[in-house]
Amino acid sequence: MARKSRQYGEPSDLSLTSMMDVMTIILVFLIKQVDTEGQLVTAAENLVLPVSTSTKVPKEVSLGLIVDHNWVLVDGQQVVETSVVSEQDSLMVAALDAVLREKRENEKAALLAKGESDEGGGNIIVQLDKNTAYDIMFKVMATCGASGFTNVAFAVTMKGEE
Amino acid sequence: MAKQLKKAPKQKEMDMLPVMSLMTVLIPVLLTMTAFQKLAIVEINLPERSEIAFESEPPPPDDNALNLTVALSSGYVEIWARGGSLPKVFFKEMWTFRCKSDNDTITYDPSTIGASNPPKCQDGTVLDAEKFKYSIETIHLWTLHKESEEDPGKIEMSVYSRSDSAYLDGNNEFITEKSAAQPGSTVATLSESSSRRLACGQSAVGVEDICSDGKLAITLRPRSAYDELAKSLIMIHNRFIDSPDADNIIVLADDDTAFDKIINIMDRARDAGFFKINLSKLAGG
Repeated sequence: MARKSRQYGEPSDLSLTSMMDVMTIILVFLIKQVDTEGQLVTAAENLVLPVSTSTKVPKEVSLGLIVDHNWVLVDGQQVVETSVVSEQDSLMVAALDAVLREKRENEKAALLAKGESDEGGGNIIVQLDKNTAYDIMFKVMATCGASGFTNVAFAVTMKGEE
Repeated sequence: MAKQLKKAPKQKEMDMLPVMSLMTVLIPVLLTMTAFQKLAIVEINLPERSEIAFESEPPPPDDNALNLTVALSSGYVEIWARGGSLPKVFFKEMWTFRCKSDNDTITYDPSTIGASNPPKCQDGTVLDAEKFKYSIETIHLWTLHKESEEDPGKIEMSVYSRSDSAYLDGNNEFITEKSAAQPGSTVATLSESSSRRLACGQSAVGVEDICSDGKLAITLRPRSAYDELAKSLIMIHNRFIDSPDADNIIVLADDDTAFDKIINIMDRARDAGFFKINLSKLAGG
């Protein structure tokens, strides 16, 4: 007996309704989360920032300093090992001071070139893990102040947004 | 001739493809604009001398200034000001970890855990002996009532609202029994003009709903030393509002104090009205 050839029907359209449902839910969720002002600070990946009741958000771009378990980083570049900062007795972290002074000079030069005055010291946002010892934090902060970055702010996670 | 019945035309489905294309474009755009973790900043007040010369002498003290200082040590927090200090607030530190295995929390006394004895989750999973400190979710400071420094102390309890605020009674004392925070009671919290009447199932201005599904949703738990501190700071700020440094506070801490505790103290100080926060180190630290 001759084998009956399989009959294929008309190709059916892909049902997009369920896909649309998923997309709509994702879209609504994302719209709810969208920050229209944008974020000037991005949390470092390997840190857990402390939670705070502060609602103040940075209004202008500042230099970023990150202190993680291994390194102190300025604008993403490794400057000195965190263990070195912890072990030294002096409040001044020499390697960090050198980098910060250079950045501050560049900032001043850029402002002068634009014809703007440089008053009130530089802005710096420091990101530290919530378990970082106060000693490390204090040395980093003191070095920032000494190198001209007197407007020091710590990055925190807003309460209720963690 | 029999009238031929007209067959209803097959309903055409809406073409979803253009909408899908729009969605596919919109979603990546929104993803790039989304903030999954909202960051804020906490500003501190650096002394001006640091910009001029790091080794220079501090300015001479002002005799009229309040010089309010909060000192945080490993077992207590103390408030100093011109001419005296408040009694120490002793606390017991407790660490809460969140287990990745069962997403449950476990709370430990830090003195009972270490590299040889790491925290254990409720499902039996043991946290990494070397890195468990980095998975601390919350550091609690439970207030202790002590008769003397040698006294091991007793944990003080307080009634907390659903939004995690400690209730105070009419005498500005912490409410320590649930029976004192029932529907109909008038209570306050550690914020200005916070007096409210408690009710069940109704919420309005000056009325707080403390029920959930008809049951009381308030909790009795160890009082936070941060709340004790906040209460004292609010009292000091209101009393010395005319002081030339009424907005200033100095936070002192030991070298090994966790950054999280400093931020918590700064939060309480700012909420009490002290906006200029200076940081310093305990002598010998």
